[in-house]
Amino acid sequence: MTKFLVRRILQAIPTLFGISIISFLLMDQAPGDPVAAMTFGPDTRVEQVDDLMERYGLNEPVHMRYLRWLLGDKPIEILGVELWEGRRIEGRRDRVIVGDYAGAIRGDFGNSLFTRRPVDGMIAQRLTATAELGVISLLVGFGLGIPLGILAAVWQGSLFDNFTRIAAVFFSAVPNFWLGLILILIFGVQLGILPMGNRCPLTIEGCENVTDRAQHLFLPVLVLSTGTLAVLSRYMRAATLDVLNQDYIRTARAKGLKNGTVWFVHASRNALVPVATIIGPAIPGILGGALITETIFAWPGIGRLAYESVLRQDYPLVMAIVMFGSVLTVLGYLISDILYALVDPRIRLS
Amino acid sequence: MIIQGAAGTSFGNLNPVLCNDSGCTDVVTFMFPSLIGVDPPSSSIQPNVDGALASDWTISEDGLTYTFNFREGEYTWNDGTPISLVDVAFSFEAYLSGENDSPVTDLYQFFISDVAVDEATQTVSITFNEATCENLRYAGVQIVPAHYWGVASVDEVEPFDYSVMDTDDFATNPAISAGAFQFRELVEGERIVLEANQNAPGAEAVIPEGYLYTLIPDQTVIVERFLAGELNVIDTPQVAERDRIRESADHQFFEFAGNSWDYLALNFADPENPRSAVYDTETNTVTGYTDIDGNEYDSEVPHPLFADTRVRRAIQHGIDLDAIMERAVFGEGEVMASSVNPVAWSKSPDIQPIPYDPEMAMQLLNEAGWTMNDSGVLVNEAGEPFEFELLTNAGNTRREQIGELVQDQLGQLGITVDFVAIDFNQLLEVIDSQEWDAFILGWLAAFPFNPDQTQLFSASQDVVGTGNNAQSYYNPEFERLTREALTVPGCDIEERAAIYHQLEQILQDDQAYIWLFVQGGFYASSADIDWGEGPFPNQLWWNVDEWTTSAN
Repeated sequence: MTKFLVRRILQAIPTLFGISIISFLLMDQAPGDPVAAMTFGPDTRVEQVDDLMERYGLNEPVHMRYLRWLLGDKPIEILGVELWEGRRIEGRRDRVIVGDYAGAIRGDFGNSLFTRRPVDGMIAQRLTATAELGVISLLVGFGLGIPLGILAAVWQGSLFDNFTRIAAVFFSAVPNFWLGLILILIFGVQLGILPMGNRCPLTIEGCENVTDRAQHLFLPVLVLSTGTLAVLSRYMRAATLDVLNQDYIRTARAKGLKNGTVWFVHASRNALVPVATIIGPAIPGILGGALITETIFAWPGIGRLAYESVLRQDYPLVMAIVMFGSVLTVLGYLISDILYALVDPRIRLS
Repeated sequence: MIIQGAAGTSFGNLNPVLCNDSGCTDVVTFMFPSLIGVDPPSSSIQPNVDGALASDWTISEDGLTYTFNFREGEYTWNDGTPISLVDVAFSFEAYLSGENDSPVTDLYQFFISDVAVDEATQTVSITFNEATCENLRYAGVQIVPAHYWGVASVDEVEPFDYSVMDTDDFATNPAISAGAFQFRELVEGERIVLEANQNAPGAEAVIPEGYLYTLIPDQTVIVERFLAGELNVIDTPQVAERDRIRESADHQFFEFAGNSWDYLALNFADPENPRSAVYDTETNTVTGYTDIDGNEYDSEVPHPLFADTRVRRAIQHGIDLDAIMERAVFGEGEVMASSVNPVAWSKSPDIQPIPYDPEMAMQLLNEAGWTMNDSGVLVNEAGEPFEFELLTNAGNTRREQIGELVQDQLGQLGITVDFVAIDFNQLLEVIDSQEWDAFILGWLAAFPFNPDQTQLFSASQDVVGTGNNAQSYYNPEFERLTREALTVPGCDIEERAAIYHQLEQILQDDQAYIWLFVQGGFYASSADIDWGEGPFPNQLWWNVDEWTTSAN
C-alpha cells in the first residue's frame, strides 16, 4: 500500500508540471489581456496601458512569463551560485527593488493582478466556504442517493421506484440557477422562513450560532445535492439490480437472512463498485461544480473566484486555482482507487 | 441603524493605494480622507469641503504648482493620532513610487512631477508636468496613515520601501483609518463590515452604527433581497426591476441621469490597413501614420463606407433611439446628443440629440452615392451592397438588444448589418487591432465628470494595439480646442464651458460616434431611512454619517 502511494505521488509530479504548462499556454492563447480589461475606461491613456504591461511583466514572451510564474522574481541562489536572477523593479528616483515573489516552485503563487493581494490567501479564505458547502452536499447526495437507489432496485416497478426515477430525471435535467431562484422565491420571499443567501445573517455580528449556519446552508445544499443525489440513485439502482440477480444473493436469502441485511450488507457492497468511480471526479467537482449555486446564493466560495479570475484573465489567480484543483483531482482518483480495493476484494493495490 | 448595501463584484484591495475596482473604491471612500473633496450640490472639486484635509489652495502664476493649505490638527486617525503632513507626503510617495503594484502610478507619474510638504507653513505643494485646468483631479488622492508603516517624519518618507504594501495586511485589515466608518471585518468573497467612527473628519457624529457591505453577484437576487427587507440600500438596480421599487410603499428612490453610456463606433479608417497616428505633442497635430510593421505613411486609408460624414449621419438618423431605449432598458435612460453627459457642466444646452429621421437618412445616403435597388438593398454605383459587421460583447443583454434593433432598423434602409456578439476580452482585442467596421460598447464616465475628451477622440490615442481612439477619428480643430480648453488662463469655468460647447458641436457634426443613450441612475432605500439633504446625482453616500431612521 505504501509503495503504491509513493509511486502514485511521484507520478503526480510530472502530471502537475504538464497541467501547469498547458494551463499557462491556454491562458496565453485566450483573446485579450488582463491589462486591457483592467484599464478599460474613457480616461485611460495609451502610455498607462504600456506602462502597466511592462510593470506586470506582460510584455515578455510566454516562456519567460511561465518561468517567472514558476521560479518567481526573487533570485535563486544555491551555495553562492545564482541560478535564477529574478527580477529587479525600477522604482522612483532610480531606486531598484529586488522582487520578493518567490514563484510557484517555492510555494508562492504571487499576487492577483486585480486585487494586488497574495492569491494563496484569497484562495485559503474561500476554501472553507467551498468545503463546507461541497462536503455537506456530497454527504447528503451520497447519504440519500445510495439507499434510495438500493430501495428503488429492490422495489423495482413499485410506485416508489417510479417516483424516484422520475424525480431523478427531473433533478438531473433542471438547471441549478433556475432551481435556486425558485427556492429563493418560495422559501425566502413568499414564506420568509429561510435566508435568501450568504453564509451568515446580514448583521454586523454575522453567524452567532450553529442554527444561523444551518439555515444559510439549507437552500444551497438542497440545490447542489439534488444533482448528485439524482445521478447516484440511478447508478445505484442499476448496479443493485445487477447484483440482486446473482447467485450469492439467492444463497444469502436461502440462509434466511433478513431483507435489510441482504440488501444493505451483501448486495450494496458489490453494487458500490461502479459508484466508487463517481467519487474520484466528485471531489475536485466540489471545487468547480458550485459556481452557479455560489452565485445565486452569494456563497463566498472558490467556484465564483475561479470564474471571476478567468473572466479577468487574472493569471496568477487562475494558475493557483488550477493547480489546487489538479492536486485535488489527483487525490480524488487516488481515493477512488483505494475505495475500489476496499469494496472489491478482487482488486489489490500494487 | 446598520446600513445594508450590496455589491456585485468582489472587494479587491482595501489599501487605497492598491485599490483597483468598484468594490473596494466604495469601501475605501468610507474609510480614508482625501486632500481635497467634491462639493455635492455642484458636483465639482471645491475648497473647504467638509472632511477634506486641505482647506483651500493657490495656483502659481505658471499654473504648474498648486499649494494646498493643510488643516493642521483638525482631524485625527481613528487611533487618535493626528492626521499630518507626513501622512500626505507618505501617501503621494506611495502612489508615485512605482515600487508597489499601485494601478494608478503611471497615471499620476504622467501628471505629477513633484510633491513637497512644508511643515512650517503647513502646506502641500504639488507640481504638475503641465499647466492644465484638470490638474486638481489628480490631487484628490486618498491619504493613508504613515505611522501604520512606522514612518513618523517627512525625512523617512523617501527612503521607505513601498513594495511592502504588496504583501502586508493593510490590504485586508486596514486597522487605522479616518472616515465616517472604520474597518471591523472582511469575510473574503462575502462581506465587509464597517462600524461608525465617531472621530470622523468633518462629521459632528456618525449616526449609523455600521455599514454592512454584502457581495451578492446575481443582480436579480439583489433586488429580491432588497424588496424583502434583507438590504436597506440599493445602488443602480436592474432596470427591469425599478418599477417594482417605485411601486413599493416601503421604499423610496432617487433618479438621475447616470454616468454609464453606450455608443456605436464606426471605423473612420480601413480595417484592412490599420495605422497608428504619429502625433506631435508640441503642435497637437498628426504628422503621419505608421502601420504595425513600422512602415510610414502620409495618411490613413479611409474606411470604404464610414469615412463619409453623410453616411455616418445617415446611420444616426436611421436609428430610433427611443424605441431602442424602451426595449433595451425599459425607457430608463436619456438619449445623448454627444459624448457629454446631459448633466455635466460642459454640456451645451443648445445641442440636442439628432432625431430619428429615416427619410433624411435615405436622402443623405443618396447624396453619398447609395441608392436602394428593387430588392430593397442599398447599393452603390457599382452595385455593391452596403453591408458591414457590427460587434458587441456577448452576455450583455442590453447591448445585444441594441445590436439587434440597430440591425433591424438599418435593414429598413437597405443596409445589411452582420451583428455578432463575442467574448468581451476578444472584443477588446479586436477593437485594439483596429480591424473592425463597427461595434457597440459603453463607458462609465468618471465622477466628477471629466470635460476633457482627449483619451476618447484625440489622434494621440489612435494607436494600433491600444488606445481608446480605435476608430481613428481626427479633426485638427478638435485637437486645438481641446488644448485651449485645458489651458484657459485662470481656468475660468464659463470661458472653458464655451470652448467645450464648441467641441461638443464638432463631435456631433463629425459623428465621432453614433450617439446612443445614457442609462438612468437610480438609488433606493427602505422608506424609514432619512437621507437628509441627499442624495445628489452620482453621490449617494456623501452625507451617510447624517442618515437617520424612524425605525430606531
